[in-house]
Amino acid sequence: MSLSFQDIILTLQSYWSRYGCVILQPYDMEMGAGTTHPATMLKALGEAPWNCAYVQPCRRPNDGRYGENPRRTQYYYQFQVILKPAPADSQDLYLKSLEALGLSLINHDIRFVEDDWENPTLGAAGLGWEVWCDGAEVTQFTYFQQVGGIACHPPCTEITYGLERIATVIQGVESHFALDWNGAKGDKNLSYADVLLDQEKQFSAYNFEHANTNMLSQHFKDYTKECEDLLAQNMIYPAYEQCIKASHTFNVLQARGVISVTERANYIARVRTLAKACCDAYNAHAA
Amino acid sequence: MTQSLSSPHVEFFVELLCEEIPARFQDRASDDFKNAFLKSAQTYGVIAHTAHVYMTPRRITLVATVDARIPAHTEERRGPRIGAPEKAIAGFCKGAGIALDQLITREGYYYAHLTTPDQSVGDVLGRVYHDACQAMTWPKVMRWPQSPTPWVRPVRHVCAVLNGAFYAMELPLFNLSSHPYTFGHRFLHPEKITPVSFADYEDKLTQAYVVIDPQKRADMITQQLQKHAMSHHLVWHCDEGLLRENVGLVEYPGVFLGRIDEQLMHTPDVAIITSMRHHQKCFAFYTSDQGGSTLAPFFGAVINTIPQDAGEALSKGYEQGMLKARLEDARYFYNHDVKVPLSDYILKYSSVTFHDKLGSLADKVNRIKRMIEDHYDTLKTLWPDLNRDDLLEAASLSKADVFTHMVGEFDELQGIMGEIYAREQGLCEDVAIALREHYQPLGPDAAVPQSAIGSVLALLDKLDTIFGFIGVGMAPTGSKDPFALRRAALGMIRIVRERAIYLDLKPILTTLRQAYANHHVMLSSMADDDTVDFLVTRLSFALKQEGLRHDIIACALGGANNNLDLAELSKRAVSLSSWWGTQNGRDTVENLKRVSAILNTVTESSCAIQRSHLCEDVERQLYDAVLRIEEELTNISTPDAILRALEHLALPIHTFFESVMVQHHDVMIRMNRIALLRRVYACAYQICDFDKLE
Repeated sequence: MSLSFQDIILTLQSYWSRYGCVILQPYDMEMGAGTTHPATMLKALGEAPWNCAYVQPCRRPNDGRYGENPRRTQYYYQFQVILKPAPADSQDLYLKSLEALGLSLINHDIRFVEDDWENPTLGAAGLGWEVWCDGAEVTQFTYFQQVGGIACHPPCTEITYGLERIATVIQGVESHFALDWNGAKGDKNLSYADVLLDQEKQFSAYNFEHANTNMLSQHFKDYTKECEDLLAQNMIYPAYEQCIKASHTFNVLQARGVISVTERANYIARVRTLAKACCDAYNAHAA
Repeated sequence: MTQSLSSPHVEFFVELLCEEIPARFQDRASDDFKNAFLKSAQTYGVIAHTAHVYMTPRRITLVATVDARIPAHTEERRGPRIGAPEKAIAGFCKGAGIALDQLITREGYYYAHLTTPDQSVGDVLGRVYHDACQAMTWPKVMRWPQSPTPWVRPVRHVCAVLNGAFYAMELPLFNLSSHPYTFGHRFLHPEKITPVSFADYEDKLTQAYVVIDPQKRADMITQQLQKHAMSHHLVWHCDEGLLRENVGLVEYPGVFLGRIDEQLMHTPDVAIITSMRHHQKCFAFYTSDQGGSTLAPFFGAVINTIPQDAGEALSKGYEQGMLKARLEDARYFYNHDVKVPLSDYILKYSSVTFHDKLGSLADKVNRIKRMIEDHYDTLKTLWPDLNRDDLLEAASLSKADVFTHMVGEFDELQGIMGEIYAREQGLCEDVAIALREHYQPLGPDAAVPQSAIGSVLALLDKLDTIFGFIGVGMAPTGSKDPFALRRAALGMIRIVRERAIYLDLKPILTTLRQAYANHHVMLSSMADDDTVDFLVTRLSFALKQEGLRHDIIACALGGANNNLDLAELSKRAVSLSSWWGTQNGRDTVENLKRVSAILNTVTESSCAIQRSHLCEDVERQLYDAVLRIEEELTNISTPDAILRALEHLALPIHTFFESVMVQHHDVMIRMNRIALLRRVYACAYQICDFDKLE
């Protein structure tokens, strides 16, 4: 009997809690990846040890397919683990977590395939791998080298599970929407589609057709200005939130198709400048 | 250093157990690490007889045979001059580890003799290996907390064996010490193994599901692919690059044969194959009928495990998972793209920048069309069947497929999808083919365009790129060629040579300059000359690669009034080179150079030749020869024929110099002889500057 979607999350939280990670809650703001959560982005800086794990819902407006694509959605869940300093047995810890989820490492083909991860908007980069399970990427495993353009001393391990992906392997289903969410029987059972399909359809339409681009463009300007103002007042966490908002706003504008190729580079550069400024400020503050 | 005569050899091997090393680094790294070790060994006086490095994604294993002993040797180190300050002398002694009274003086300097006693190789191998690791370079390195030194991926364990016994050594650069054991396959045999020799190591590892030799892993993969092919009546074509990549991803390769849903096969083969290869690193199979060219609904995936459930879990994963999703995407892209007329994308050209300084894609295409319009008549002489409308249509659509979903996903399919969509949409065959061909050649050994339109577009597109970047000051320098101009130039050269296209590019450059001006691009005034130089230099390079001598190349290509017909210049060089290989050729050049040498010493100004003042037979014969050849040259144009015509000057010149002196006391005769020689020179040296030949 394979784990339900919610049991997968509970199992991972339990596993990493036993290891010694603090189990955090998702950041209550739209973001594209678990890396953007301050628990990764800011806490990866500096020398203080830090071990945490959390679920993070991710929004990638461009990836919306109106719920018609079985594996691609504009909203999905990552499970994020940060281990600082990166333990010598990082890979083993990760592999044991897969076993804890009931995956046989012998009956499935598990491989570490080179993938050096980079998020130019956040000035973050690391070296590591995509972890493939039977040809599908289920996890991004990275040793962070820099965040916000600042070198990480010590480097930390970032493990980002694609929860839906792993769940489809564990449950042996093809489509994310067919995942058993709650493991209940009969008419108490809820699938992923039951929980999220309607939202997926509406938000796809919102991202591609309905979002008010004038408002969002103005918001982008407001967020960037507010971020700069807050940094000048040494309000680092509030400033970083504005940066997160700006980043997501840019993602929606892009999905709406109003950003040209040349403008795109500009937007990214502006968010990167903000992110770097926040990281610099955090670093100075922590030092 | 004394050579060891019959010192016994010992075997030394070290395995570094790392986290997965990128597949694409492994081959090169094996060589680099071996060389680093050999170099380091040399510095320490270790005599290595064999050395080899084996790699799996997780292991770098060096095995070497070395002399068991390093003979004693003395090194002489030079110190300060005699009379140098006491402090300097004392410092030198300290550095060399000797006392003042041990200094030797010679020829005004102090010397120290440092003797290293006879040593066991085991005393230094640790340092040799350590230094080799330190000298090793990788394209990309990373830091991890347990090590002071960055490396390609974290190193976690070291196993070292010397002469059958555990070799204890420290590797402070990774903060690790060696052990007598290592571990087997990560999942299939993670337990320890303790090897006593390299042969034993390879054996035990194989039993522990690790094949240390990449060649053996490659063989395992190809054998299994072949076996699957045979048992399903399929054909498998070797994809060398994909094979090597898979070799670098596994320690114990198995091959899983999976099925592709029939429905997903209704996409162009090239899209399916590219998707499988690019995203999944899987191999394609073909049905064995029709010469193995029909794609079969099967794929081969290289796996790194031996499933105990008869492959049930992973086959579900492979067949219903990402591969299916990717092929569904490919089908979606194709179905979506094929409905959009390629011409619809033309409007988008202006929104895509080709390069900041060179304008948009629309500008580029307009310039290509402009060159076509202005030089159509010339092109038509080269290709009588050329159709102007088709040529212009192909130019207009040449960048369209870049905007399709399929090419957006797989940029390696640009051009290829253009042809497919054009054909599907009913465009004429010549246009369809040209859309693919205008990107060619895709590599130094890849095909050049075969069609007229494809060739024209390929040439003009590359010329536009080269001229543009050179004109705005971004020509390649040293090892930096970010816009691949050298590759583009080589492509042009290959096209005109292999397709025998005799086209002078200079007039086209003039049009191009004007076209750039119309697009408000500021080009340097030297752009035309620099482009000519650039292309001629690349041609020289190519000819040199083919074995032509540099002086022959310089002679053939160096004419100041040359046009820029690269095929013609190339032919000239090749003809000159084979002519130079003949006795007649060398005799002719030798004589011509005599003429040139004499003329260099002459200061008198020119005059016309007067037949009446040709008093000797040899003078008249030489003059007649020149006249005949001048006449002949008006009728012939191929370099071979021209050079052979010049051969008829050899004997007359030779006889002339044997019989008469140029410096005759009679000024009329002297002037006449000089004029005659000048005439000979002009006739021959208009072809090329024979003085350049050595």
